[in-house]
Amino acid sequence: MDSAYALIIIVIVVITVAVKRKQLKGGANKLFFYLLVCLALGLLVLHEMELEISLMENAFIYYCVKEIMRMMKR
Amino acid sequence: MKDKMTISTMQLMLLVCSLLVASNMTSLPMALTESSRQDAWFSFVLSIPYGIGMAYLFWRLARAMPGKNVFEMAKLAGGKWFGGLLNALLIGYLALDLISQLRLYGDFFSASILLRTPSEYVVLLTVVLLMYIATGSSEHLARANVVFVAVFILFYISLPILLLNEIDMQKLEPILSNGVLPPLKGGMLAVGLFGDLIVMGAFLHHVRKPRDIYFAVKTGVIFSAFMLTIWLFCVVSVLSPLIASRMIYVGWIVVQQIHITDFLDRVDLFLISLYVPVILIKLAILYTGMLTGLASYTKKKNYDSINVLTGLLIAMLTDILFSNMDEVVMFNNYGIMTISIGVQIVFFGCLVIALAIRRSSIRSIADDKQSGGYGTGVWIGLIGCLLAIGFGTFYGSVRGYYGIVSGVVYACFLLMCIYFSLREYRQTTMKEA
Repeated sequence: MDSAYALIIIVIVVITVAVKRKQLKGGANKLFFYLLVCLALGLLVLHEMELEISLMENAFIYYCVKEIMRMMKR
Repeated sequence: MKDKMTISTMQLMLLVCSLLVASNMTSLPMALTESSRQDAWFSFVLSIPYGIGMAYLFWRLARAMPGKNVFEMAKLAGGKWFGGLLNALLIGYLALDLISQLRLYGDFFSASILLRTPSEYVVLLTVVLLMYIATGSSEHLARANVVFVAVFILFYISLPILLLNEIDMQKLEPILSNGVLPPLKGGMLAVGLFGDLIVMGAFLHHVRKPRDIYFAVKTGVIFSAFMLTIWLFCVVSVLSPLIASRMIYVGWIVVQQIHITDFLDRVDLFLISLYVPVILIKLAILYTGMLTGLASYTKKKNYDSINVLTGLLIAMLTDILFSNMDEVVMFNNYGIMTISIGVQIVFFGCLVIALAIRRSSIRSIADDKQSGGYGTGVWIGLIGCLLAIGFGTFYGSVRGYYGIVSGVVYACFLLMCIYFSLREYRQTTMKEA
């Protein structure tokens, strides 16, 4: 766990919410903004848990890359 | 973000150059030399017709719906829900492209320049810079790009001269002796990596005339292909295809080979300081394009409020989505190609069909695409390049001399293509003035 990284992210999120909160107009804008705040905090938790959702482990991407590499190196 | 700003034809052309050249210099030579060996420098001829096709598509779309970017066009043609779904697809692709490019850039910095700085901090600082750039307008980005990319092009085009004492022409031989497959495989990879071009659709509303978009993108693509051909020529002739195919950051190694007397031994540091702003501009183009897409979901089309949070999400996803450097390089060289082609077929296919259905309700403008005889010159140059490759692949294995002749003829036709595209571009801008 990298507490400095987490601290930087939290400080930036808090400052952004404090500054932008009153400038938001309309329900959709507010919803979009707070959804992003929740996503950022959720992702930070996953990041600090050192979770890795490797893109290359995705079956579609893995087989595509494997087949293309096989074709290119033939 | 001031949406009323306009981008000139030259600025758009140079934005295309930054978008296509800088990032493809880092790890692409590895993939191309792996598949095409010494013929890797013939790879970019196929990406030129692809780029011209994209330019034509942008021109037709901008003519059908003037003053709109592709995200607004999708909403206008496909309606709120279907258009929104198409936009989500394109935003997802742009985010994936940005994340992989950011990670490649972060790992490159951590491995080669800032050895004691963790990659995640390099990425975070870069993202903060991208957020700052996004607070300005697209015109600011285009103006900054003109300054950096002009010097960048000047120095990188003169690389064959700077590397003259290191170039060994024998490393390029036998030219095209392995048949048509090696240049074709390299060409397919290059086409996939030129897929980034779709992001220019987010800037269509900044260009005054639809016709300018066609000429700017077309010239930008041809010039980028020319620069990357020079780059691959230097990589293969200086390092040999075998070494180049086993190095991830081969570009860094090539510029380190510049030794112009003992006094100018570290020209690489100067060149890398030119390379970094250009790659940052590429990242900024992708980031701004993505934000423009996200802003299309709001009524005011303004991304100021979501800029910082989106940037933080991108920074954290960059760390989470890849385990190591090998994965990033594999994804960048081989994985993004499939996604890029798939997204473009689905997005533009649906957009064109929806546009054809709703043609009567959309206000389009008449616009001519006159380019005199120069446009024909570009196509003759391209066909000449393909014929030279064809000749080399058939007769290069018979006698080495034929391969050398086809290589020289290919270079001449590529230069002809550049000349006519620049003349065509100049003619357009002269008409405007």
